[in-house]
Amino acid sequence: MNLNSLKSQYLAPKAQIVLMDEQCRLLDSCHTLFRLDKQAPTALSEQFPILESIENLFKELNDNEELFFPRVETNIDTNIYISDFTFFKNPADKYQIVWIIQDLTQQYLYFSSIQRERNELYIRNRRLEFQQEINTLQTELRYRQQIHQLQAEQMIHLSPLSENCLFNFTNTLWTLIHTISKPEYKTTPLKLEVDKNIPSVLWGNQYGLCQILYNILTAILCNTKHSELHLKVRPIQTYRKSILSAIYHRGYRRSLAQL
Amino acid sequence: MRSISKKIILTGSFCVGKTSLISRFVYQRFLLNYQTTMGVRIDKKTVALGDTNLNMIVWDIGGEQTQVRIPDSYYLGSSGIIYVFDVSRPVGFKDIENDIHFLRQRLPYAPIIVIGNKRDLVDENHLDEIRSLVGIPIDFFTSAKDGIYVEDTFIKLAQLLIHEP
Repeated sequence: MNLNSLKSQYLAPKAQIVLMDEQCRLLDSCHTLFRLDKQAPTALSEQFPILESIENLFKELNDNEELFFPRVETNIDTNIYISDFTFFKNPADKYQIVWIIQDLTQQYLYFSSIQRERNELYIRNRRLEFQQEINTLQTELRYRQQIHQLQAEQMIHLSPLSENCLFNFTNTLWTLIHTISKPEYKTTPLKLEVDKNIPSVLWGNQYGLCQILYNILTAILCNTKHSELHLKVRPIQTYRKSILSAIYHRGYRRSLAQL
Repeated sequence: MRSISKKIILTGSFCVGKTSLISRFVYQRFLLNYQTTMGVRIDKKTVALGDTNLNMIVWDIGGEQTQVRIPDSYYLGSSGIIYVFDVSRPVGFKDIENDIHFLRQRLPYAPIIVIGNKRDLVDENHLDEIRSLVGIPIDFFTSAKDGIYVEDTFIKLAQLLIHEP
């Protein structure tokens, strides 16, 4: 048995050759895979929609040109075929089209199950990646919300002191500086220097002072990229009596008056 | 009554429901199981529009990760395109614009209908959000399962095809 006869024996049962004219009328077929009726009054394009959709291309086909359509699924007599279709002009008659149907159903069905698994795996992985992105964003959002909540709590904590009161001036400034200088808020260093002549305890609107300083400092920090910021607090007027003693005296007088 | 035939390609990523859309449009049925299309499956449906019978020959092209992987021969002689994406898979949204760009280059004169399928899997309130995320005009949000806007999709393309020069 020579190679050609072996080839014929093993490959021929998997291929069918159909000969037709440019209008897809059947001229001849070897009927290896399925039977085509030569006496049928209608063109093959009635039976095979693929032919109807590419019929116009046959007229434009060059002599040495091939049209190749891989993995075409076709239902014929309740059987499903997955075949490679090749079309070219018959070298012996340029008005005839040769249609070679190579049946690869078995191979493609095997690959189909692999591809299905591959597709499902790909979708699962992409979903997982997407979920991870969402988780990262949610974590960042929670983190930002915590920062905002912290700042809001500080404001709430300060708000009852919105009226004039006695407060520790130096501590208040340090708290404010600490809040503004937090790494997640701003990286520019912020330093505080309070003149020693300023009393540590003052009478006034602590909340208002914090709010004004907060607004000024954050605005400056937004425009400061590569330098340090120094906040220096100095008295602009010297009182004969400290505010604290004045309050003490006023309170003392009031107490006396009540007696 | 005149009769014309047009080749239409139905394309998009894999597992977006292209075969289910065809199944709904041509055979009025829905397949619950995921069926992979290996290459291409060709179906035909005739639509009557005014004085024209349009034979829509739909090439259901097996989904790939990108349109670039699809064999060139599948595009030959195509008159119209239906591009499908899955609204329940936001991970695929970023590929849509590139795919459409590729298709426009491949078939510059073919009208393209863009549809988001599987609308039955998402909250109706999210559709506007999806529209803004995708970044290109979406013609319909369809459900092959429930048959919502499936017919409309094909009819809209058919109308564009019979009025083309």
